[in-house]
Amino acid sequence: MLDIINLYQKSVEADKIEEKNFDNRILPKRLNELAKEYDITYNPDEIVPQDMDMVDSMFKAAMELIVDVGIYNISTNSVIKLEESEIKEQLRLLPGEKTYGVGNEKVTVVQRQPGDKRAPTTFGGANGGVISEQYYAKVMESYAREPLASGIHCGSVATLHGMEMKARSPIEMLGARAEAVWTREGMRMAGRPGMPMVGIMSSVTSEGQIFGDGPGAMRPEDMHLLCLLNDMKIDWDCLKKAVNTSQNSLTVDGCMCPIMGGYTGGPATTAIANIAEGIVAYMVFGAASYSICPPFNPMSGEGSSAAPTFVSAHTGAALKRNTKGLYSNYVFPSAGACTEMMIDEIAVYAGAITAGGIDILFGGAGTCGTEVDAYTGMDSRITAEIGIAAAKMSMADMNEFCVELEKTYAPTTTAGNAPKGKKFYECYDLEKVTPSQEYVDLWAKSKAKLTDLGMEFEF
Amino acid sequence: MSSENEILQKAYDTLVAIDEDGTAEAVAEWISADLDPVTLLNKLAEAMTEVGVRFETMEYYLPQVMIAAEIMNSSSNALSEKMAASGETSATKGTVVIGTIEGDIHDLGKNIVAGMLQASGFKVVDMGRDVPVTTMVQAAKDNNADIVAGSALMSTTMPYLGDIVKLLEGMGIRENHKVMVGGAPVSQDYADSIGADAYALNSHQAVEAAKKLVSK
Repeated sequence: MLDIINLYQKSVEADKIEEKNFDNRILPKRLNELAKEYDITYNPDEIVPQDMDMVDSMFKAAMELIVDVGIYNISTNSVIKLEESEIKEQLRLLPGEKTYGVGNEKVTVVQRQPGDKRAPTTFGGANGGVISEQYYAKVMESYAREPLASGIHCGSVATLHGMEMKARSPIEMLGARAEAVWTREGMRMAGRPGMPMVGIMSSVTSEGQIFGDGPGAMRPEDMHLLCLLNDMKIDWDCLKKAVNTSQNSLTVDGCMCPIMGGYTGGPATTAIANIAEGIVAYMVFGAASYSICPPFNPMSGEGSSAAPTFVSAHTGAALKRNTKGLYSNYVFPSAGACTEMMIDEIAVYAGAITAGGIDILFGGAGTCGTEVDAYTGMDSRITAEIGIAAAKMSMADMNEFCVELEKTYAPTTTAGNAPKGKKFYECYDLEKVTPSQEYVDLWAKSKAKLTDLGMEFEF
Repeated sequence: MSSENEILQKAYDTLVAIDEDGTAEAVAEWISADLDPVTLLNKLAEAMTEVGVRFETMEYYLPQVMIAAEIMNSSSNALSEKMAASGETSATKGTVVIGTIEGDIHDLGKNIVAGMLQASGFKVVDMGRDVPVTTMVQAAKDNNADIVAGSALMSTTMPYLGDIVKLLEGMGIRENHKVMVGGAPVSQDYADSIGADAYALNSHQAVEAAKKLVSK
C-alpha cells in the first residue's frame, strides 16, 4: 500500500489543474492515444477474452495511463503522480489470495486465471440495493441460507425507525451500523454467524462508513469497501477511509463504478481505464481485491449487454494475467427477481467474467440495484450455480454462448424496458425464508434452456 | 470572402466535429461580415442537437459533449456582445440551475444532463457536486432560473432533493421555479412524493422534461 502521508504530501504540493481539463481533455486524449498505439478495439462478437495479446496490451496501456495522467485529487484539484517503478513495486506486494470471515465460515479466495476450471467464489447479496428495514434481516438470512453463498454483500437500509437515511447526519451513522448488525443477524438466524460481509452501503461519508464497525456489526475480517471516484480520481474521504482500514488492520476491497460513454469513452478505452483504476485501488487502499460494477449505460441504465460485459471480462483477464490481485465483480442484471430475463442476463455476465478469471461474484442483484426490496437469496443461488457451470466451459464456447444469448435480451435492456420482476416478499415465504415454488420452477426451466445452450450444471 | 451560407455550414460542421478553432473562425467571420447573430446562433443550436444525437447513439462520449458545450458558450458570448452592441438580446429556451445534491460527489450523470441541456439551447448554471440545498435555491433565485435540477446517486443523499422543494416553499418562491430530479435511486414515485415537477431517468428525458416545464 502506498504511504498515505506521501499521497497527502503529493496532493497538497502538486500544481493545480482544473478538474474539467482533466476530465474532458487530459484523460480522454491519453486514453484514445493509448488505444490506438496498442491497437485495442472492441468487438461485439468477442465479449469473452479470446486474444490474450490484446488483454496484455490493455494492461500495458493502463500502466502508461497511470504514469502519464496520474490520480486526480478533487479535494486539492491536483494530480498525484507516480513512477512506473513505484507501481511495479506495489504490485509485487499483492498476495494472490485472501481469507475472509471467521470460524466455520472462513473462506480463502485464491486467485483464478482466465479460463480457470476452478469455480469462482460467490458472495450473495443485494450489492447495495435498497431494502426496507422490516425485511432487511430476512433478506440477509435468505442469502445466508444458500450453501453456495460464501459471503454476503450488504444492501442499503432504506429507513431507520421510519426515518430516511440522510448523508452527513447522525442517522447515516446509525443506519450504517444497522446495516451491519441486521446482516449479521440474518447470518446468525441461518446458523452461519462467521460469514464475511461486504459493506458499508448505507452511508457515503467516511464517518458513516467507519461507524459500520463495531460489536455485532462489521469485523476486521469482513470486506470493507473503499471506492475510488470516477474516473482516475480520489478525494480526502477516500483517503480517510484508507487511514481507518490501514491503521486498524481491517480487510479491504477496493471498488469502482464506471460509466459507459463517460469521460473514459467507449468499451475499449473504458476497459483500459478500469484496469488502471484496479491498479490504483490495490495501491492506494492496500486492497488485496478490486471490484467493479458493470459500466452502466447512462441512457438505459443497463450493464449486462455486450459492451459492459466485454469491459468487465477483459478488465479481469488483464489484471489476473499481470498481477496477483484478486478481482470481484457486481452482477447487476437489469431485469428483476423471478424473471427469465434476469437469469439470462446473469448467465451471460457472470459466465463471461468467470471465463475472464473472476475470483468473486457479488450478487446478482436485479433491477441494477435500483428497486426497493427487489433482492433475494435465490438470486445468489442462480449466480453461484452459473459461476460453477461457466468455469467448466472453454473460453471460446463461453464466448459463443454469451454472444448468442445476449442477443435475446439486449434490445429490451438497452431500451430500458427490462421487467422489474418480483419483490422479496412476493417470491419468498417470509416465515420459512425459502423461495416460492414459482421461482424454484423458473430456475429449473431456465437451467434446462441454458443446458441446451452448452452450460453443464452440477446440481 | 465566404458567403453567408458557407459560414453557416462551416460553423455547423466544425461544431459537430468538435473543432474549437474552426467554430471560432466561423463566428469571427460572421461578426466581421455584420450578419444577423440570431441566424448563426440557431445554426449552432442545430449543431449541438446533432452532438446530442451522437452522444445518445454512443458515437460521441461525454468529453465531446462537454467540449462542444464550451464551444457553444464561447460562441454565444461573442455573438451576445455583438447583439448587445446593437440593442438585441439573445434568446435561450430557459435557465436551469443544476447540481449534484448535498453529500453526493457522484456528478457524472449530472454532467451529462448539463451538457445535453446546453446542447438543447438552455442556459445552464452548473453548481457542481455536493451542493448544499441552500446554495442551490439561492442560485435559482439569483439567476431567475426557470428550473432547479438536482441529482442524487445515493439513497442517503436523495432526501436532500425533497429539501429543495421544502426550502423553495419556505422562502415563498416555489411558484417561481420548477423542480426536476433524477439519479439512480430516484423514481417517478419518489419525485411525486417530494412534490417535484418532473423526474428524468436519463439526459434525453431530462431535456424533454425541461422543454415541457418551460412551456407551461
